[in-house]
Amino acid sequence: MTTKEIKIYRDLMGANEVWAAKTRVLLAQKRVLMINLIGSPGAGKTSLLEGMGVQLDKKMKFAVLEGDVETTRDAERIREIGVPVSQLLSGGACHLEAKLVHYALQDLDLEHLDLVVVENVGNMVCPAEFDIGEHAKIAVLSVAEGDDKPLKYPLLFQQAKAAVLSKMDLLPYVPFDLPACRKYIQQVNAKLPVFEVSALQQEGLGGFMRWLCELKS
Amino acid sequence: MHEFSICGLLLKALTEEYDAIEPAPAGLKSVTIVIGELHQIVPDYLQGAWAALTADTDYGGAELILEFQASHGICPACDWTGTISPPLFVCPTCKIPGVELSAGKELFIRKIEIKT
Ligand SMILES: Nc1nc2c(ncn2[C@@H]2O[C@H](COP(=O)(O)OP(=O)(O)OP(=O)(O)O)[C@@H](O)[C@H]2O)c(=O)[nH]1
Ligand SMILES: [Mg+2]
Ligand SMILES: [Zn+2]
Repeated sequence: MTTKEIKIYRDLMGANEVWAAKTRVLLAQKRVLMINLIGSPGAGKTSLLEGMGVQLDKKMKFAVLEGDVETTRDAERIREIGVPVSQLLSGGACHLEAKLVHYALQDLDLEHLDLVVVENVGNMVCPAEFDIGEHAKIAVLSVAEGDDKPLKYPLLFQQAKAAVLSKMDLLPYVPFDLPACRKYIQQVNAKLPVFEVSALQQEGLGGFMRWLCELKS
Repeated sequence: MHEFSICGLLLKALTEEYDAIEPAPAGLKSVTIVIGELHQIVPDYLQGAWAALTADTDYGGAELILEFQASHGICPACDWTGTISPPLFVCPTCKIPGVELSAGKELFIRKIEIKT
């Protein structure tokens, strides 16, 4: 048997990238901004969306795509506050891929929307690897998880366009060094804007939403 | 566990290349991919996915070779260039964060070895 070597140089994520590119075209046509919320299970992503639903309603029309491994519980929470929502079940996978998101987007009334928020499957590692055609990945980190997470999961903080530090109301009760965490974030991604938010107490959401409005325009 | 999905994407890209080879090869001996250091891919999981997804296919028994690419960066403040150690993107010369990545995010097929 003889063998022959062939040089290739081909992007491995190509099949995912094709769908992400289609999504970018669709979003540009409809002038819709899409963001991708990424954070560990229980970081407070759905609660952040609930808070945004209360405050954003008048300024920006938005819809939510809920990514979960199982159950429609998060989608039901969003529907309850009157925001259009579709549930995406990843079927066991630890992240969403571009094709599924693209099909789900087509089922939304994009003509009448300004913003689509995708809540990715709760996980700090895998979703950061996949482009779903979003304009911005947003890292969500709760103060209950520890201040060193930006150093332990640098890819997410490298790829993100903003970070939300959630559950700020818990700060007095947990050993979380806020200045250290901000320094770690800066060491990983010097330009990353950081928003301190408590969805429970409806605090700090304004700054994040102003940033979203600027991103939109 | 995104290694399974990544392996699925690898197989898609590989098959498009492999099927286009003329004359058709007698088999695949190996595929070499380059992984930037910033990717959080566990080599053992990726190898496991490769073994599982290629068993009983034309690629069964072919070797998956992983090459890792270290991170390189450029400092916009002082033009320093060199190897950086994630997670810290801090310039070793002027100590300012904000080093821009010039290598470390790659994920591509570099070469394949076919049986003729
Ligand atoms: N104290 C406090 N608790 C919060 C806050 N935001 C969320 N929580 C609580 O944290 C828990 C998880 O919140 P979720 O919003 O469901 O988190 P998630 O990131 O959507 O979780 P998954 O979708 O399962 O990954 C719930 O019990 C929330 O009530 C906050 O600002 N302060
Ligand atoms: Mg949730
Ligand atoms: Zn420098």
